[in-house]
Amino acid sequence: MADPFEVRMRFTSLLHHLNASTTSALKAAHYALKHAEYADDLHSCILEQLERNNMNNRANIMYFLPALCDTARAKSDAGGVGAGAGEVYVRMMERDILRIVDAVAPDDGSGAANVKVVRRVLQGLQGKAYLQPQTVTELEECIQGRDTANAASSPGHNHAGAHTDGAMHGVVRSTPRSSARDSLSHYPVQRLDKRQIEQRIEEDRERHKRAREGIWAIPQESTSLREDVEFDKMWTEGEGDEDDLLLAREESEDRGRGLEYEET
Amino acid sequence: MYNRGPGYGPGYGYPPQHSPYGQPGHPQQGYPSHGPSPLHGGYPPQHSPYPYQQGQPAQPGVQYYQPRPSRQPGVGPPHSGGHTPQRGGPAQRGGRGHFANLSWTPGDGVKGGHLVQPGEKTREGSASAPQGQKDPDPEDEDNPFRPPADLRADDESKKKKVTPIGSAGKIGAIAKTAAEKEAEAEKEKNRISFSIKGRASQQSAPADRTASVILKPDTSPLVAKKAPAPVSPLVQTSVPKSSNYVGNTRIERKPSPPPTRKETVRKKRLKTRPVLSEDFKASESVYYRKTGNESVVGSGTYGKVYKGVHVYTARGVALKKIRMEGERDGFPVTATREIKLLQSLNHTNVVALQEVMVEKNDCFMVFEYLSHDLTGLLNHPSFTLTPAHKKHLAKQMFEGLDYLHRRGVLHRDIKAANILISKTGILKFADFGLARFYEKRRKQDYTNRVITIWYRSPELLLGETQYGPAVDIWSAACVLVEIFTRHAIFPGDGGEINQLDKIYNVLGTPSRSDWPAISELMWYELLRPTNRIPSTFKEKYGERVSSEAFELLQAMFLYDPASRPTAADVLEHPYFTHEEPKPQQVWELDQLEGDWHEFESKALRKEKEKADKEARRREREVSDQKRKADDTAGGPQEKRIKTAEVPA
Repeated sequence: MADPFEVRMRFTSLLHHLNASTTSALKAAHYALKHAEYADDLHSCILEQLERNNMNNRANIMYFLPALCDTARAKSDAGGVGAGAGEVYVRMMERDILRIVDAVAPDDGSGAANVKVVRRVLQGLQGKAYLQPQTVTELEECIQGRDTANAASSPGHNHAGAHTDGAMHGVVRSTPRSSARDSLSHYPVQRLDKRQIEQRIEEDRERHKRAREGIWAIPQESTSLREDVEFDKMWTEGEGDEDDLLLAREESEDRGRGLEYEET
Repeated sequence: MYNRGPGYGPGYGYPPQHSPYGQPGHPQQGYPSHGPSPLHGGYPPQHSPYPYQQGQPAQPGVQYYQPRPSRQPGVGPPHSGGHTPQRGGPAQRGGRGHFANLSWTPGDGVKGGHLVQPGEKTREGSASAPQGQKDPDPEDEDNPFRPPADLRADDESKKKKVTPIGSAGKIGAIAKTAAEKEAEAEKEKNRISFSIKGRASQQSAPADRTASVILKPDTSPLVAKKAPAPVSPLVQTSVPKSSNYVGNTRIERKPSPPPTRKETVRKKRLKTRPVLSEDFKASESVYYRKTGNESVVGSGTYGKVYKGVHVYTARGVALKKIRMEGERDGFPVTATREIKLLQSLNHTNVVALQEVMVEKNDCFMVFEYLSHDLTGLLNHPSFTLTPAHKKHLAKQMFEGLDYLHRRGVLHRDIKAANILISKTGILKFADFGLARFYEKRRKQDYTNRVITIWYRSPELLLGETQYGPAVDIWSAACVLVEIFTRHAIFPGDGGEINQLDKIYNVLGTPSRSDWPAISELMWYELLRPTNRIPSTFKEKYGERVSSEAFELLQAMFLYDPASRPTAADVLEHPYFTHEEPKPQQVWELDQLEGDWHEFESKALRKEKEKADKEARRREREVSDQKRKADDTAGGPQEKRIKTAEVPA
């Protein structure tokens, strides 16, 4: 049995070194699952890191959550040792989601760049039924104003504490102040430095590249060949237009040239 | 021959379904009247014995030859297979045009069966042919300049002529013989025809040993006789098989022969055989290139581009070597994509991919060679473009771009160095390494790590992944500025942040009203400007370009991609349609010495920098020595000087 302190240290380091690659996320997720007996501890580790690190890292941890949930779900589905323990992470994540969101995209404007990350991840979590649609809707409202947040020192700032209070009880509340942030006057107090921005750009590109890997796939609901979704899609969307005509003309010219050559 | 009524009948054991063929008089409709036509080749095998069963003693040759459409009885052309036809000239075409397809004609000015050189000097009666027969020309026979195919083609046309006049009996004899005998006869004919040709050429151009004469089939006296053959079955029966064939070949030509014996003789003069230069001879590749790095005309992440020359056609090519180093998954999929794209493109303003070549384990894309690229041309030390030239180049650029976009292709790497210019001032887009087909009808996600950063549009810099042709328009606008001013408009330091700053500094910071969707972009929050900057575009460029050109640039440099004009819109702009001067092709490039690509101008610059550095170093050395001499006295003074020197 590993020393709890050591497990905590290792996991912290793994979270800290998360990047856009799948492997880094999976590595951390497997580690968390392997030490599911310290689930509480490791979960608090996640929260801690979310609140301590720079915005890039917070985004990476946010993207890590779905991976953790997936791994946990897969493990509990597979059964075996500590099968139930995996679900603990999902439950805890669900419980603290507001706190997590607040950490990743704080409403002081510093996390404006992360708002899109939060939205995306929340959509993903909802899609996989780790979160209730209602919760997600409420969270969306909550972060609504934050990406327009030129709002570093806008009045809403001091209320940030109230959020975390609510989050600790697992009660999701919509924030009444988000609408109040219309004054477009200030810029974020601390912008990411240049190196961080460039790193973030690269990481986003990497994530996007992976996301695109599956983009061509068309989900086939039925196994019956009679209902071919791909074919239907082409049938409905692929009507010909003047471009196809152009293509056809070029091809026929090509063909004509070939024939001419053969005939002579 | 099938229609030789008397011999036919059900009694011959024809399968019932074939009986109609045997009926006299029928065949004209059912069969093409010419015996050894290619159609016969297609008959099921069970037909071939028919002729043998015919009890017609008068036509033994027919029986033998019938199943072999390529050899005509009597005529017995000495050609083998599909070798001759392309040289055969019109005479043969009617009869054996179908063979022409099988063989490739060397590009010597003769395409297919057409003679390119019309009758040169001689109008020669057919009568001359038999004469020639008696008058062999030894000189011609061993003429080393005459390719064998030529000879044979010639022979054939001769023979047709010869047969009727000379030897009806001989034909019969040949026909009767077995295959070996036939071959012999062919040889003999060969000889005969050699002499004929020799004679002809001597007559027409005694000094010119290269001439080979092809006599028109019309010269043959047979023609007149033969022509009616297909009309009447009776004639056919009476005419020997061989002549029948000739008659058939004549059918198409029949209207053309004038009644007089005078004929235009088409003559063909062989070009002197090209001789390869020593370099070309030594070249292991069909595309000769200079050794080592001498032939490199470009290099990049994709690999290197070499200049090459086809050793036989002397055509210039650019060979783009596909980089295979570090490819773990075999042939790079990006190269496959590029090849596929280029193969589907066909436009004057898009560089033509001629072939893909594998050589010594290297794969090359072979392009037409163009002497200059836009960067090289704009950096040329002395050559300058007139406003009319610039307009012509710009027009071609947008015509090419319009074509690409209409074909659903995003170039995604438009920049001055990727635009080639020919010696006649034709502009062509090159380097489709980043290009892709895009969905016109719906938005799709593409990578935004595209386009050389100086030419990258603001939406890409801010993280847009659902973009369209507007990104190419932005790049083209950047290039247009370069055409006008010879300088890049947004020369950033290579980073996204700095690049956006460069753009903001010229065009001002974008406002929400200019570009409503800006806040939706992924990195908007990361990269948003820190303070408002007004546009300085007008003061920077208003004076340097014409008013319409400025207006056009302004339209293309709009922040919101949805508001930018399409390439087709650009071509409609008054800058192209109304404003003077009219576009004018850069013919002057023809006189420009050397090739001007980015590669060369870079090398030139490097050389210059090196020389500058060297000069500065020497200067410093001199001053150092001087200082040393000075410094022997005072310590602190030395230190002060040293620090002062560092930045230098």
